[in-house]
Amino acid sequence: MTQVSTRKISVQSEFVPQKKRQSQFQLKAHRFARNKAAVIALCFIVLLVFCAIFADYISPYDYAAQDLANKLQFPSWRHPFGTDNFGRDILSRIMRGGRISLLVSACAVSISAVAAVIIGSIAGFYGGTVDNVIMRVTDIFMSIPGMLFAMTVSAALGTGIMKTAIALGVCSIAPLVRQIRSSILLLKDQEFIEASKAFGVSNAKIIMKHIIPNTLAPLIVQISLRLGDTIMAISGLSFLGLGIQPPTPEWGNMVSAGKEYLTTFWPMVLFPGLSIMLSMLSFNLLGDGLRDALDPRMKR
Amino acid sequence: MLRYILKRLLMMIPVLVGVVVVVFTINYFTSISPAAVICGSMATDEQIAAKEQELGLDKPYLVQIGTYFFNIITKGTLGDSYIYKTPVLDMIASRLPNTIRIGLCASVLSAMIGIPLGILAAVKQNSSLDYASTFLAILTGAIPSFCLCLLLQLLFAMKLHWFPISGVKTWQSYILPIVSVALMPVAMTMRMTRSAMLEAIRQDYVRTARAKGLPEKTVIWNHTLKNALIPIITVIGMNIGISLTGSIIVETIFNIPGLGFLMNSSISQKDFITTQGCVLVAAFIMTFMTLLTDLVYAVVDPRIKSQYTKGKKAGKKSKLIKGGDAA
Amino acid sequence: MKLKKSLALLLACVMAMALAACSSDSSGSNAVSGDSATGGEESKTLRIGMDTEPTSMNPVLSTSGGGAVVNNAIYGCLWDITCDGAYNYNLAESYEYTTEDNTEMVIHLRDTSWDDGTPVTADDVLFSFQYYINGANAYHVMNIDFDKSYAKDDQTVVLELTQASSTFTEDLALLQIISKDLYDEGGDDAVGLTPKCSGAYTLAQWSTGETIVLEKNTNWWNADQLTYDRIEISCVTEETTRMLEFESGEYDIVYLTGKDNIEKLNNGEVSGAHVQYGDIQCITYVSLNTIDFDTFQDINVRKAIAYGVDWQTIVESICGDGYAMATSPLFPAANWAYKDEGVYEYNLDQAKQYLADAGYGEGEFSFTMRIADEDFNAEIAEAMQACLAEVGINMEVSVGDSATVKEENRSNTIQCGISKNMGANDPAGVINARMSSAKPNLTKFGDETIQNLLDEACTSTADQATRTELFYELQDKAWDYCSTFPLYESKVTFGAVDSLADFSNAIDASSGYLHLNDLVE
Repeated sequence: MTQVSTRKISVQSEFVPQKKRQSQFQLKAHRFARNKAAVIALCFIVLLVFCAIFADYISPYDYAAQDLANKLQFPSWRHPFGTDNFGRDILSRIMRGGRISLLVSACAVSISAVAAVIIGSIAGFYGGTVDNVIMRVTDIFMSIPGMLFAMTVSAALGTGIMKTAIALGVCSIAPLVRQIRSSILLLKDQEFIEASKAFGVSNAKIIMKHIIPNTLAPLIVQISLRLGDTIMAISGLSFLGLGIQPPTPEWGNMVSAGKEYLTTFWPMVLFPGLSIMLSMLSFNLLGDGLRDALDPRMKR
Repeated sequence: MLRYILKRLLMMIPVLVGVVVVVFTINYFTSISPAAVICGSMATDEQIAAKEQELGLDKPYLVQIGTYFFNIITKGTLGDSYIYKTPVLDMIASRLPNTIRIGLCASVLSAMIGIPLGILAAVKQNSSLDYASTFLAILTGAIPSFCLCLLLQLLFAMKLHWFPISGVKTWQSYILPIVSVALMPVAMTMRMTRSAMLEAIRQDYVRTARAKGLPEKTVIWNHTLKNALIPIITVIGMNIGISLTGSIIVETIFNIPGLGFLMNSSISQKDFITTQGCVLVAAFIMTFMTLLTDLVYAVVDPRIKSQYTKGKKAGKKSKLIKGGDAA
Repeated sequence: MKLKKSLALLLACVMAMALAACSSDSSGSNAVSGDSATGGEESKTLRIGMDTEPTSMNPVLSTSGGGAVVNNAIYGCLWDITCDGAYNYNLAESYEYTTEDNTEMVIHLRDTSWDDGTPVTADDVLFSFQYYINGANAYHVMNIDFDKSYAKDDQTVVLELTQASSTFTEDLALLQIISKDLYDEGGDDAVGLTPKCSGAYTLAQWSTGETIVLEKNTNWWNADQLTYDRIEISCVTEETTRMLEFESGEYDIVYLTGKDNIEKLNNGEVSGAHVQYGDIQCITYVSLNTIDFDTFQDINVRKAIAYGVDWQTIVESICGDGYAMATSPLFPAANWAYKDEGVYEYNLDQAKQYLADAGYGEGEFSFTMRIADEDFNAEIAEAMQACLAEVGINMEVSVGDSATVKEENRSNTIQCGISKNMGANDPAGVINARMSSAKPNLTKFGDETIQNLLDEACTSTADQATRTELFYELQDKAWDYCSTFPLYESKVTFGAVDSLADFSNAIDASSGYLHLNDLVE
């Protein structure tokens, strides 16, 4: 008997190749990597974050250093993006502005994401009257056009970095709540949730262990898209005189300051505008790539 | 059907009430008093207090908001502007046509560009045309609106003299604002169309139609597009709603006297009652557009129409009976 | 197929638009065309570009720039005081004080009428003054005792004042005369929407978003002398857009505040146009709040700031041509009370010494400057920040919108700010915002002696020589006190086409708005 089994095992180990199992994360990362646009976008965002964090060390000049004798210089080797109407280096200001845009955007999106997850989960999971009430309130907030709402809140709170972040965060909660609620509703009816309930697992634990991880994928996509939208919204608010005001450099208020010089000196408008556009583009492409990669139903 | 419409119209009311409450509350808790702004920096405390009394700003929260609603219902007025002393409704009414003109034309333009591009991209999926048009659409959607406006103004109005620089004197002066407002939703329309079409193309009935030997044109037009319409209509409805409520930046740069412009100036002048009126009107337009969109669904998709006319349970049954292809 | 159809449709639309746009008439050059009049018998039109739209034709309620210009044109005032200090009598022929202490004034009105032919009477004048009490300009008429003032006859007004004021005639110059009969008929609405005009022009057309058209008022007493028969006023809030319109020849006169635009015109980059300056006797200055905050109590700290900032270079490089450095802490050079105190000499080492004397090391002293985002404020604040950083003082700059900052000023929460005095001919009018009775404390002096001297100088009704002495002493003391740092003398700027003669006589001395009725041959 023992002889047979030994032979069996040795045959198995010699001739049958083992299949290598990839983890979920590796599968998704692989799928993401195939989307070249998304990868390029991710690289740009990493570059942006890097510049934002290390702006003080890598920027060629101090962003606030004025050099009135050299104002309004077109791009040159010394000043790759030129100088503004105070003689400040535009490249350094864009880096600094990038830090501020990313910071405010990240704060705003975190505020809205956390609030939306909490509210959306409660609405989706408990259903009934709670769901109804939350949905009606969300409807109310969603019927106010986004920019109008952001302006009203921003005007009420005042200008400044934290206040703008709060204003934009509050304005983005409603659409995210919708999103999360619908993905939870989809999940709620799945069999594995029913099974968990049948086993007597508490509601809180179900939410924590099953629902939230499964809603994570669309949430991450939304967060990426929202980051881009928020950067655009910040620059829009700053352009209008709310949001973030000079002397703090922010891409939107740089364009606003530069529009006076538009006909004679275009760098003041072009470079901040380009930065806004590229950031928005990158976050959009990243969001698209994530959506394609993380969706388990796509048969690419 | 009519009952459904009436029901939806009635349901709009609590939403609008909620909107007014939200905006009013935000403005109520601002630290700046509108009375102080109007009286100017030379005013004494007594003058400001008198002004507050005149404008009704010294009353408690509930009384103020109650009076506001009372005035809407009984007198049909949205109040008088703190600064201009003219009725808010008149101010909005004189400015709304401009915004609506621009909004409607821009929505039509963006649909005209976005939908064909989306169909093209979906039909020729994964080809270079698909990637190129997707990328182009995303690119145009990413340009900040103020940069776009300034650029258009500089190039077409200033340098080439094709259009006036600002204002609404001639019909040509509407062109640049329309183009500015239209370019932003193109991206979303195009991508929505593309994904809806892709979703529809994968369906079995398309495979059947192709297997039957129908020409590609019929497959795309009759079978795929009609079934992909619902998400497309959603996104168009949303775009119309957003365009109609006035792009603030476009109106400011092109000096169009519209709803967005009024909104901007009333916020900076702390004329809260005008702000409230503007937001109320804007919210009304948005919810009305949602209602219209839902009604268009009913026209386009008989499954949904039966849901509205017979009620939810009956609708579900008829959905099961009628089954897939609505073409 | 649908795709092709819609693409074709789109192409057709674009082509149609391009064709239509090209065929419309538009000037092809960047040069500003001359005035659109052909002179002689044909009507001459003046086109003006202003900033804010008029909100109402009721001058009591009007708060906008465009509104002010229109109201100045359609309503007459008793007299106008222009930049060169002249009194242009409009609806009044003359006035005089009839008592020694200047508490009674008699005004003789001209025999003139409203645009519908009814005469302008003394009742209208008295009514107008009372009407102003409703509005924000109430402080102009607060000295009038309405119970004792009366209309002696149709052409004579007797005003009784509760107290004499040296700025009274200037205050009256700003008040437009409204028709009492019109108000009796239709109330505020009638005045605001369908005004009766006593001024040089009548309101021919006014609707939201469109050009405002004014036509010559043939009933005005000096109508024959007016240069222009028709005036078109367009209101564009965005200065960039307004400048673009001016460059393409849409306006003859444009109201400008942007520094780059003014530079452009001065450099000759816009052919056929130049800058028209109006001296509005207004100085802009930095102020330290020495009353509400202990921060600036030590004179050494204030001196450190005074001598540690290179004021002259800042003003010259930021404001550029056309703005003169202000050399008195209180008055512009054109005012008769002005005394030349010079400029605080920029001495970095001495400033550091002062800071050390005050007991602060490098970077230990800090304060916040709160400014509104207008004029050159932001740029000057940043330049100051850079200078003070070298001295070792930390100055934070906080920018807000005008309304918010004004309110903060009123509630005295601002530590340091940039202010402008009101333009006026009488020195008391220039500095009365600094009197003890005024609400904002930012521009007052924390020293009782100086403040009392200021109050005395402003309320004095003595003769000019005595008052001059008081004002000179005041300026010396204020200069030494170092709490207010003069920047530049403001001017109001307009872009004007070269075919227009100098019109500084038509610019109001205190507000800088145009007096269209002064554009006479």
